[in-house]
Amino acid sequence: MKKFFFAAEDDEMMCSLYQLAFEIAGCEIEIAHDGEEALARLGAMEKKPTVVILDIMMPKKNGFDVLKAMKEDSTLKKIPVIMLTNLAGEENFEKGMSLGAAGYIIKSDYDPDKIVERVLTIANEYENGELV
Amino acid sequence: MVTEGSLENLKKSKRYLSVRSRVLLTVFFGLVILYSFLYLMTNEVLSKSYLEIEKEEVIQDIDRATEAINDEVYLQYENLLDWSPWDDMYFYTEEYALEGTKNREFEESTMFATGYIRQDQNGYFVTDNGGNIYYAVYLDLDEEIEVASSTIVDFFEPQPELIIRTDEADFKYGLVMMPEGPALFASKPSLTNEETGPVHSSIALLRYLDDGKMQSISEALGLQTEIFEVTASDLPADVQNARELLLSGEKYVVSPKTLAEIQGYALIDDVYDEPALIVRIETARPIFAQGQKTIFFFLIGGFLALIVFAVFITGLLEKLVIRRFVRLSRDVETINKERNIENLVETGQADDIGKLGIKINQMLLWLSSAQKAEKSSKQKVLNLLKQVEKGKDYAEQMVIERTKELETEKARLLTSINSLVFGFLIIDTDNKIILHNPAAKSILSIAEIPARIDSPDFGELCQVFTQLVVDTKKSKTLTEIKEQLFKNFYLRLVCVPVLAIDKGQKKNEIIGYVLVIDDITEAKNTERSREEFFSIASHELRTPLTAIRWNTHMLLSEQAAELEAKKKQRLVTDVHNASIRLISIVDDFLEVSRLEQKKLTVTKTNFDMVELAKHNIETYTEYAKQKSINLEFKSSLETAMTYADEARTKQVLDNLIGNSLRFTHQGTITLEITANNSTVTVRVTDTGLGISEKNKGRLFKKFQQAGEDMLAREDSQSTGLGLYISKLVLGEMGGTIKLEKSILGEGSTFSFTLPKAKSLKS
Repeated sequence: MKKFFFAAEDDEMMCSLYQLAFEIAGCEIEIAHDGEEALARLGAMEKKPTVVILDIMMPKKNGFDVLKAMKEDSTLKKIPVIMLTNLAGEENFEKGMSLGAAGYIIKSDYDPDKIVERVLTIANEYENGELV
Repeated sequence: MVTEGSLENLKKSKRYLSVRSRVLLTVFFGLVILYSFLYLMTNEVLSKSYLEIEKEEVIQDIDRATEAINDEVYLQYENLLDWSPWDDMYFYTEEYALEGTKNREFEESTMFATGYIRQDQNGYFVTDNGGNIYYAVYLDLDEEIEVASSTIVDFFEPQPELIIRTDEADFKYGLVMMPEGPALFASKPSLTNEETGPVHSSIALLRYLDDGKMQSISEALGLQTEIFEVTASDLPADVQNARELLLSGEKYVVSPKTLAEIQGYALIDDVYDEPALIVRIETARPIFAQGQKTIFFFLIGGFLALIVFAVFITGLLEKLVIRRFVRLSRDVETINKERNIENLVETGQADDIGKLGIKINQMLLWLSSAQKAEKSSKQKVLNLLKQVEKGKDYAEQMVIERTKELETEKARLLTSINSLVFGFLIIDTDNKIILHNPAAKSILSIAEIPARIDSPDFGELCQVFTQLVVDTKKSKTLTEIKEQLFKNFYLRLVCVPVLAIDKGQKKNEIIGYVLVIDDITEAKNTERSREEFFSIASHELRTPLTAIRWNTHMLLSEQAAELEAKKKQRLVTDVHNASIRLISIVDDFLEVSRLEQKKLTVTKTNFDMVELAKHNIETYTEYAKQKSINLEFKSSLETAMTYADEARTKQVLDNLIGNSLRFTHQGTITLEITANNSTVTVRVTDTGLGISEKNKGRLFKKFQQAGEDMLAREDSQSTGLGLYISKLVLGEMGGTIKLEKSILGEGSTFSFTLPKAKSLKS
């Protein structure tokens, strides 16, 4: 069964790359283009994604706020969230982790297959109950 | 202290008397007292002793008088002694006794009247042993005739003890008080010539102590002597007084009659030894007179002696004391009057007054030296006063200068405080605000600074301020709150204790606090923005770089062969676009850097803004159509010649139109050009999202997209440096840019202004 991921990313260029990379890795991915859209679609989903990938700098609602809202929503709070962003800085990393993110990845630091690999690792760890 | 006034008062006083007058008065009164004493003593002692002597003399005279009378009585008896022993008479008595007959013959021949007259007797009578007077002759000696003898018989027969003599040796004599007057009486028995008896009768002789008799006594004594009957009722007053005294036991009474005569009194007893007569003698007073004379001379002498003594004493006092004393007094008065204590008083002889003079002189010398000392000290005081005056003037000058300096200093300080960009409060220990500057008001954005820091007008800050002061008080040193959020502002609060430096107060005692309030919102924002700018910058750079990395990785991966040509094409296009974006970002950064370092060169020329704007709009027409946005150009001007760098002006125009296009999703974007005498204004109005109040302040700033909102920005494809660059560029060309209005959800109007072309102006 294909792994189902949900991402929020406003940059069209990045969106197509995500699509491509995850498809290549044999995963299913849905992408929202801003924070509000992401939350709306996540809430409406019957089948929740294995992992939610959140960009941080997005229109309407930034990634941190989306993460916060998810952690406050009983139907979403158990879904592992990976912050995938180009916003570097210790401060942002700390903030993301403290809000309950499962991972914090700087996009430009890795090649796309490595990113997908890391997302999958976290997804597996979550599924195996290693991450709660 | 004796003042001049009191001296004058002393002189005016009614009781004021000079010493001389006092001495004279004293001597006078002393004289009077002494003389009075002398007089009294003289009278009392001398006069009395003279009276005593006189009295003794008088008593002697009284004794002589009484003796003379008693002698007369005895003489009567002696007279009878011749008559008693006589035979003839004896026989006569014997015959009468034995036979009871009287021998008439004998009577007639022997016992006749004349014989008795010769004998100077008033009476002669014979009494038998039975007391019967049987023969009596009674004679009036003045008339020298015999008178009836019944007087004798009647008087004597009732007193038989006087007349009955039965023994040969028996006799009796004395005074008898006859009705006619006092009389000398003697009685003896009739005897024989041999003086033998038996006794048959007694014979008696009687002689009146009459005036004649008293006259002869007086003459014999050489003393006026009188007799008075004790029992008489018509006695003179003096005799009556004497009688009282004599009968009460006094042997003698002496009483001066006049100054020249004196009287003496004594009693004489009768035959029965009973007081019968008062003898009064009267004599001259030679002793008294002598005494008076002596006293007179004594008093005169005493008076003269006292006068001499007084004059001597007064003279002596005058010479030894008064004159010198007056001199001394005058000298002192002169010194006093002339107020010249250089003069000295005359001391004179070496005695107490001399000593007083010396002492006064010593005192004067001492006073003089004291006065000199006083003068010099007065001069010193005056000098000191002058110096003080000078010092005072100097001090006043100094005070004025210092006050001026202080005022200047205060003004400077106040101006400094008032010009401070941060809030400045001075607070006393009671949390009262003593001073504050205008910046405090503007930073705290309150209309009026309250009177106290714990006032609720400070809102949540009142708690913070109070706590800060408490902490400062505790630490006694600068206490700081580095960051305090207040109404969207970030404040930095610094509290410094003001410590007393005045010596009067306790060292290190806190007398107040200085509270400095700094608005660090800007700095904070700048700091945060800077951090975030770098985040953004790196983010912005990373994003296209990631695209390039990922796309190229895809193209290079093993799976690339499996990719469709279209997808490959897409990957390559993305790499290209990413590169362009990267370049644009880098260009922006470089532009900012150049502009900030003033390394940008502007080439100003005259160009037509209308033409530039029209041309510029055309380039966006296609893009606007795609976004369904109406792009309009409005201008009443044919041309608007502007003096600026045309290329740079286009850049600004691009930025404004680009922004409007980016944030407007529907409606119209209008470009309008207006001009006045000196400037050309380009206005861009859109019906876009509008700008929040918070973000308005951040426009035209380097990091306008900083803050939380950065993460949720509408446009993730921009560095946000556009407006900042536009502002800097316009600045270089002498233009300005501003946000004219903006309402959230309705749209915004930006405008920029540039100088009109110079040629047109001229």
